[in-house]
Formats: sequence, C-alpha cells, structure tokens
Amino acid sequence: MKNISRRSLLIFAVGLAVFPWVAKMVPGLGDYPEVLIYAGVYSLITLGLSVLVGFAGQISLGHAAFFGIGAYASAVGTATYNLDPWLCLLLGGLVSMLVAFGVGVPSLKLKGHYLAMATLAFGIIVFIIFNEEVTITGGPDGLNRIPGLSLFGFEFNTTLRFYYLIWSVVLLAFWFCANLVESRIGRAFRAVHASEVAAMAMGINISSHKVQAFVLSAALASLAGSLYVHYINFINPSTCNLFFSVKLIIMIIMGGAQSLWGAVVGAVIVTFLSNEWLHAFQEWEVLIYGAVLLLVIIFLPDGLASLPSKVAAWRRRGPAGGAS
Amino acid sequence: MSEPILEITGLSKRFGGLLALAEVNFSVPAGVVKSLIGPNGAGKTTLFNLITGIFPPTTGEVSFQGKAITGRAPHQIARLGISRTFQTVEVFGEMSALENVMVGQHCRSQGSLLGSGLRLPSVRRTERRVTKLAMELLEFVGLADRAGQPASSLPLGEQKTLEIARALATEPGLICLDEPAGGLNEQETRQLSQLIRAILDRGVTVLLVEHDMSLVMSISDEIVVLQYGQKIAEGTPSQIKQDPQVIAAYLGEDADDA
Repeated sequence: MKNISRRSLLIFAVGLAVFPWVAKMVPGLGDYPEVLIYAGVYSLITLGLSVLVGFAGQISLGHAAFFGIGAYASAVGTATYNLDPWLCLLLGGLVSMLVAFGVGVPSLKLKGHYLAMATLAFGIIVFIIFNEEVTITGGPDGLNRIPGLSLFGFEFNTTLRFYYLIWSVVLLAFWFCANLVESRIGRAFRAVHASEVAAMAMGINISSHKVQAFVLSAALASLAGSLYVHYINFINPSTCNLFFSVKLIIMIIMGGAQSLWGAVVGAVIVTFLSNEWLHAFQEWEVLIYGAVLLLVIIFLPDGLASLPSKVAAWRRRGPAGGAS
Repeated sequence: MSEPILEITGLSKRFGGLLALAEVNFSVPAGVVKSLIGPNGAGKTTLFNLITGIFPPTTGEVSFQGKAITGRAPHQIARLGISRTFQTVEVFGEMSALENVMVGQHCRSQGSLLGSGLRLPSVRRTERRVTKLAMELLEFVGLADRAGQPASSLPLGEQKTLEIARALATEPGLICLDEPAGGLNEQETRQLSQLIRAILDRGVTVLLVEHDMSLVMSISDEIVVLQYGQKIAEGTPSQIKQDPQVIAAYLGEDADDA
C-alpha cells in the first residue's frame, strides 16, 4: 500500500464509524445508514471487479451470478438445511471460486466483446438455473425466512450492527486489494492489461493471472451475496439478474475502474441515486440516472474518484484556464 | 568460439500462403553480439517471435543452452533465460518506470495472490529486494531519475532503454533486441552501443535485429543476413561487407547467381 495511503484509509474508517451517529442527529439522513448497508454489499463486489476490470483489464458481465451463488448457498444452507451461516458463507465462496475457475479458464482466452458475451451468457445461464430449480431455490418466488448472522452470541440483528459488520468486511477487502495491486501479482495484472505480449515476454503466465483475478472477484461477489441474504432474510432470482451485472459495471465506471476508491465511490453513488435521491423524479428516474452516467463519462472519464486530482489541476492552472 | 547458447535448426514459419521463414540454420555462441540483418519483411521479427515462443514454428527446432525449447510458452522461455525488447515499444504505459522494471523480476520472485493481499513478511522482503534490483538496473541504463514517472510520459528513446532494463530484470542468458536504434538520434545511438557493450560485460549474450548498419558493423561479432525468409549469408562484419549476395540484396544489383 503505497499509492493508497494508510492515512486516507484510516480517515475513511473513522468517517464510517461516526457516520450513523451524525445521521441520527441531522434531519433527513435517518435512512442513510441503511442505504449504506446496500452500498457496502455492492462495494465488496465492485472492489473485486475493479481488480478484474480496471487492473487486469478483463471485462465481466456475469458477476451477478457469483453474487447469486453466494446468496443461494447461504439461503439454502441455512433456511433449508439449518447449517451454520458462516459455514455456508465459506461453502458458497468455495463453489463460486470453483465455478469461476471452470468458466474463467476457457472464456478468459477471449478478448473484448467476446469475453463480454461469454460472461453475459454465463450470467444468464445461472439466472435461469435459479429460476427453474424450484425444488432447491424456490423458483421465481425465491426463499425467505433466512436467519440473521451472529458471532460468538452477538447477533447482527439491527441496522446499526449490520452496518458495522458489512463496512468492516469492506475495509478488510479494501486493504487486501490495495496490498494486492501494489504487489508482484498486482503488477502482473496491470502488465497483462497494458500489453499481453510484453507481459508474456517478462515471464508472466497471462492466462493464469487472468483466472486468478477472475476467481478473486468471484469470491468477493459471493461473500457479498452471502452477507446480503442474512441482512434482508430473503432472496429471489431477479436480485441477481442481468441488469444487476450491468449495474455493477456502471458503478465501477462511474467511480473510476482503475482505482479502488473508485469502486467504493461508484457503489455508494449509484446506490444512493437508485435507492434514495432519484425517487422524487418517479418515472424520470432512469433518464436522470443515464444523464449522470453520461456526464461522468464525458467530463470525468477516469470516474468520480479522479475528481479531487482534477480539481487540484484546475486550481493550479488558475481561473483563466478553469473551464477547459 | 565458445559453446553455442542458442541453436536454430531448419526453422520455417508459414503464414497461410506466405513462407515467412524457410529452413533457417544458425547458432549464437555465448558471450557475443550476433546481429540479424536484412531488408524489411525478410523474417527477422518472425524469427524473434519463434525464438521467444510467441508462435510455434511450422518446422524446425530452437534450442537454448542445449535444451529444446520449441513449442514452449513464452513465459516458460522467459523463465529459462531468453528475454527481449520490441520493435514498436511495448512498455506498460501507466506504470512507473520502476514498476516496469519490477515486472521483469516476476519470473525470478515468489509471492501468491493470497500472500500479496495479506502483505506477509516474506512478500514484503521480496518487494524490497525487487525494488532495489530494479533501481540498480535503472541506474545501469541511465534512467534512475525517471523511476517514478509513468512509462508513457518518457520520450521514445527512453522508453526503448526502459524496455532493455525491463528485459535485463528477468536475468536472461540471452537478450533479443528488436531494432533498438529505430527512432533514435545519433547521440542516443552512441549511448545504445555503449549500453550493449555493458550488457555483454554482465555476461548476457546479445541477439540484435537492426537497420542501422554502422551500429551493426561496429558492434557485432557475427552477422546473419536474411532475405525473403532465407539465410543468404553468415559471417564476421568484414566478410558480410564483401559478400556479393548481400551487396545485391541491399543495393539491388544483379548478382550472378540470383
């Protein structure tokens, strides 16, 4: 962790810790901790996707599937078979990683649009399985009465408790990914992204590294799915449909795919836009959503996370060149 | 001459109807500069791509330090000790110059995804060692003051030099330089020629593809001339200069036996 300083991560952690108490006091922010739980769940996925897409340069339009595998593993394991939730979370992660390996090895040989199509098809297939395997997954109605989580007798049964649980996990994942991208493996990911032929010539096994990035991102998505179902105690297939996969990509593009901060910023902004801020616009919601995305892509191609450095650059050039 | 470090036997490559390389034989003795010259399209870069495993040959064999390496993957060949630079620069643009060189150490260092993410003590130790070595190599090629800059921000000549440092970081026995002087000015070319000699002094054998004849003639121990995918001559610079077939190929004269 060099580019991402320990200090900024610490400030972020402290901010998250005090936020619920601030939200309690400021009128109108009462819902925010709950919305931030969803943002935290999505951040877990986008952190992994950021490593896969932004750093290793491989696209996936099927990550809702891994979220779904984790979610259903936890749902079926706990609600149907009464297994320990943490065990189910681990099993779900394991299954997701195995599936990611099986899907990743052949499909990561593809590039660009073809890889996008392959992962998209994978996502659709998994969605159909969730929908049709009625005896296991409950079909389109889904599964409910999924129990909550507890650790050593401490139950995560309130919004506040779950808020702290999910964001602790996000911070750990952030720390892990930040270490990773600044390491030998992370450099290999970025090298593969920049030039496959040069990466190979430097002794990097490119397919192995692509698959590793894919498996890591699948594990994080699966973890997010497991935590999610223990919070809302319900899962159905439409939660992990194709649009969700696309939305995840929108999150990392809006935040900035080549930055881990971008992954979190994107997840938080998109979650607040669709769960909170755009409700007032009713049917205009989607239009405004699209307009915001368009504006970000045109004026901040490196995402919202690049805004501070852009502003600093504008300041340095002075007000005369401000607009350009 | 010492033992050959690289041996090319009967190497051919066919792309559809085009025979890019036809039955080429030669060997590179350890510790020399051997150059490949020839007009554009003679098959020089194709030969580099066959040696480094970018694609497999149609027929023939490549062996390195007595080991057959034909058909091995590029990353395995790099690990065995053959490294290269590219005719059109292939630096990792958004990474710093230092990080570019550190990537070269990938095949000489350990560290799993899990260990890297958890920043285990062993990973930190490796990171320190690799950083130090990469910095030394940047000093060796004269780019130490560029360490923190993104590779894409460097001028072309420095990007080419950076590729050499990156290739050296793989600790190769043989380095293949694909037109390192292309796009360089006279002074940069002089520095390049000194750098190539310094690389030899490190015990690394050099296989050079180059169009700059004064550089090739001054620095090479041996030269192979390719034309239309075939070897038309091989020898010392003075032999090559007087070879009628080579003169014909370069000046377009009608050679007797052409």
